[in-house]
Amino acid sequence: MYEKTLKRVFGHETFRPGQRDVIEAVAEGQDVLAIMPTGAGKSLTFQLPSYLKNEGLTIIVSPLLSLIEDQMLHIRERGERGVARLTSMETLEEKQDILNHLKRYRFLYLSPEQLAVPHVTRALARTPIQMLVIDEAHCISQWGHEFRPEYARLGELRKQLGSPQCMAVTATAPENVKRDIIEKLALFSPSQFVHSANRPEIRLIVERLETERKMPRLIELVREVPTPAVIYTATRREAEALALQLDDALFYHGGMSTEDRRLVQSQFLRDEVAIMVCTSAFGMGVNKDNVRSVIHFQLPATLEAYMQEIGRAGRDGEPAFAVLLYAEGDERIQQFLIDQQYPKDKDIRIAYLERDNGTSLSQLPRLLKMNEEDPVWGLLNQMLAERTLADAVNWVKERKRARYRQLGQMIDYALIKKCRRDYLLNYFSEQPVKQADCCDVCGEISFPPSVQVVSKNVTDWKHRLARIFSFD
Amino acid sequence: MREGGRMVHLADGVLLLSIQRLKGERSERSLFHVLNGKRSATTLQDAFFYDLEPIFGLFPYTKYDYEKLLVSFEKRGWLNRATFTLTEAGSMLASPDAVSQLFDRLGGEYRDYTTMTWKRLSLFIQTFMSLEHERTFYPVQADRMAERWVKQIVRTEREWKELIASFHQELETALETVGDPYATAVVYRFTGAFETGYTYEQIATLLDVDARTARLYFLAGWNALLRTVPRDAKILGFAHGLSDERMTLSARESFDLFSAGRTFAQVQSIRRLRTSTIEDHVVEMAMYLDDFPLDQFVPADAIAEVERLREEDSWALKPIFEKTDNLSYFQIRLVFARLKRGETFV
Repeated sequence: MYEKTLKRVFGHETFRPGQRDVIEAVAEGQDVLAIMPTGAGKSLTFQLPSYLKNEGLTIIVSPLLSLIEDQMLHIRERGERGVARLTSMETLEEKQDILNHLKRYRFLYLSPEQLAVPHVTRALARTPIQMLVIDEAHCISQWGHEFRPEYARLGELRKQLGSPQCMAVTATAPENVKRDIIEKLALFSPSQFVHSANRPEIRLIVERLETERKMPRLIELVREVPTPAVIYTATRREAEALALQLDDALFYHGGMSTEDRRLVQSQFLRDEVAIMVCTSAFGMGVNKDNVRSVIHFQLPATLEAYMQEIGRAGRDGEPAFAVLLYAEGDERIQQFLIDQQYPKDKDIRIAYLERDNGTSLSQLPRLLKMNEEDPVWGLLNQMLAERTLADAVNWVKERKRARYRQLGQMIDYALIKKCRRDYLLNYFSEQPVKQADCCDVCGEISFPPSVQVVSKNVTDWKHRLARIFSFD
Repeated sequence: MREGGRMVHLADGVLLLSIQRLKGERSERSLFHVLNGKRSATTLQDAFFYDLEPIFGLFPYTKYDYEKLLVSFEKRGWLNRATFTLTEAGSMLASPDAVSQLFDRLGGEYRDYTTMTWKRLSLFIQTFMSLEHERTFYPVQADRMAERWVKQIVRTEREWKELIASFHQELETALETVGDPYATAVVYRFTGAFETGYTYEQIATLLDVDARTARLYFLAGWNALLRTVPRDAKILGFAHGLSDERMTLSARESFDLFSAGRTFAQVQSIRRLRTSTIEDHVVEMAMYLDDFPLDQFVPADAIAEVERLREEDSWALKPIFEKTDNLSYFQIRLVFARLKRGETFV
C-alpha cells in the first residue's frame, strides 16, 4: 500500500533506504525524530503519510524562506495544489485568506515566527492537524551549529496547537543536540531513526598549505576535480574575488538581487556553468544530484556545517570529492565571525545599566550604535528580558567558548593523521567504517579524468533571441 | 573578467554626471532620494529640475552603501563633499557623450512600469517555452505579482505560437533600432527552455565592461525598447494595467478634481489634506502636464518677473524669493516648472 501511494503520488517505484521505516512509524501515529543526511529524501517521509491517512493538515515549520520556496516548488511540480505558505512574503490579505480556508490545504509551510503569531496559532488550533513537522530541527538546540532563538518556543506552540503528532527532522545531530530536540519539543518516547552520517561515495581530502599557495592551488584544483563543483568560502567579498579568478565560475551569496541569484542557481542546476563559488547561503534546499566536488577554500565553523556542505556532492550515488584547503591561521575568520554573532561585554553592560536607569528599549539600539535588524540586538533584547547581567555575560562567554570548541574540532579534522571518515563518524557517535577510496590519510585519492558536462553557448544576440523563441 | 577596482567605468560616469547636474544646489541627501526613487514632492522636483528623471529610482542604495560610494568618489579625487560638486577630474569623467547618452536612455522608474513589464515578459517566456519543451524549470522571477499575472495569462486559450512569433519579431525589430551593446544586454537576460539568462557579471564579460555598467546597459536597453516598439505592438500587452505616469497617484486625484472645476479650497476640503500637500500636487501638475493654467496661481507680471530674475542655469528658489515681495515659494516653483518645460513669458 505504501508503494502504491509512492507510485501514484511521487512517481517513484521504490523507497530509498530508510524511508519506509520512518513512514511506518509516522503512520502508526508515533512521534518521530529522523536524522537523515541531505539527499536521503527527508521530505518524502513527512509528505507521504498525508496521502495515507488524510486526517487533516500537515504543518511544516522551516527556518528559511528559500527552503520553503524550494519544497513548495517541488510539491507543485508533481501537481499537488493543496500547499500554501505563511511567510514574510505574503500580504496580510493573502495570509488571512489562507487561514480562512485551511481545509483547502494538505501542506502548510511556515516560519517559526509566523507560527508564533497569536491569531495564526489560534486559527491552526481550530483546524484538524495530522502532523506538525519541524524541519531543520537542530536549530532548536543551542549546541547545534545553527541555533535560532525563534525555534526555542516551538515546544510551547505545539502544546497550544493541541499537541499534535510531531516529527522532527534534521540532517545532522550529535548526541547532545538530539537530546535537546527531544526535550524541547516534548516528543513522547519518539521513534528515532538515525541514518548513518556516512556518505560512502564522497572521498575526503585535506590539503594543508601556506596561505599564499591557496589561490594558485585552487586554480589548479578546479581543473583537476570533476565538475560540477561547489566552492565554499567564508565571506561575500571572497566569493566574488574567487569567481573572478576562476574560469567558468559564478558566485552566489545573500547580497545579490533575487533575479541574479535565481539566474545563477538555474544555470548551475542545468549544467550551464561548471563552478559555483558561494557562502553558506547557497545549498540549503538546492536539489542538484550531480555535484561531483565540493571544495572548501575556508574552514566552516563546525563539523556539522562541514558535513552538510560536503553532503551536497554525489547525491546521485556516484563517486564525489570533498577537498578542504587549510592554511594555518584560517580559523581566524571563523573566530571573527563567531565573535560578531554575540554582543560585546561592554555593550551588554551598557544595555543593562541604561535599562535599569529607565532608558526605553527602543532607544537602546541607537545608543549602542546597533542596527535594529541586527540579530545581535535581537539576542541582547532577549537577554535583557530573561537574564540578570551576570548571567547574561556568563551565558555569552559560555556560548562563545562552546563555539570555539566546535571550531577546534573542525581544525582537528584538518590536522589529524588518522582516517578522516572515522573522525567524522566518531563525532556523530558512530562506529568506524572500512571502505576503499576513503580519504587522503587512508590512501592516495586520484581524480577521474574530467568529463565536460557543461555546455557553453555564446552567439550574437539575434541567434540567442531566436533560440529562446524557438519551438524546435 | 577584469578586476574593477581602480578602473573608471561608465557607471561611475553616470553617477558623477548626476552630481554635476545638481550644480551644487542640492544636498547629498537629495541625490540619495532621487537614486532610490522616493516619491515625495521634494524629490520629484529635484529630479525634474535637475534633469535626473532618467535615473530616478534606478540605484536603490542603502544609506551605508551610498556613503561608501561618496567616500570612494572623494578619495579618488572626483568629488568635493563640502559643496557636493565635482572636482575638475570628476567633471572630466562626467563629460563624455557616452556617459550622457547612457544616462538619458535610462528612463527612470516611476510606477514600476518598466520593471514589472520585464518581470512579466521574462517569466512568461520562460514558463511558456519550458512547458512547450516539457522542461522543468526554476522561475527566474520571484515576484508574486508577476507570478500571479503570468499564471493567469498562461492558462488562457490563445493562438500562443503565433503570438510568440510576433513577440519575437517585435523584439528583434526594436532591438535593431536600439542597437548594441544594449541589445546584447537585453537578450542575454532572457531565459528560455534550454538557456538560462546571464547575470550582470556574465553580461559584463561579454561586453567587456564592469557589472554595474552591464546592468545600466540592460536597463537602458529595456527602457529604449519599450519606447521604440509601435504603440500597437502585441508585446505591450505585458504592460497591461500598468502606468508609467510620472505624477503620483495622490496628485492625480487632486488633478481630477481640479479638472472637474473644483477650486483649490474645495479640493483641499474634499481631500482633507494640508494646504502644502495640495500645493505640492499643483507643482506636480505644473511639472508634468502639457497644459497648465499658470496664471490662475501667479499674476502675469510676477511670472515675467521671476523669469527675468532667474539666473541662467540655476533653479535655486531662495534668491528669487528674496528679490520679490509678494511671491511664495509655491508660486516661484510653479513658474520654474513651466520655464523648465521650455515655456517663456517675457
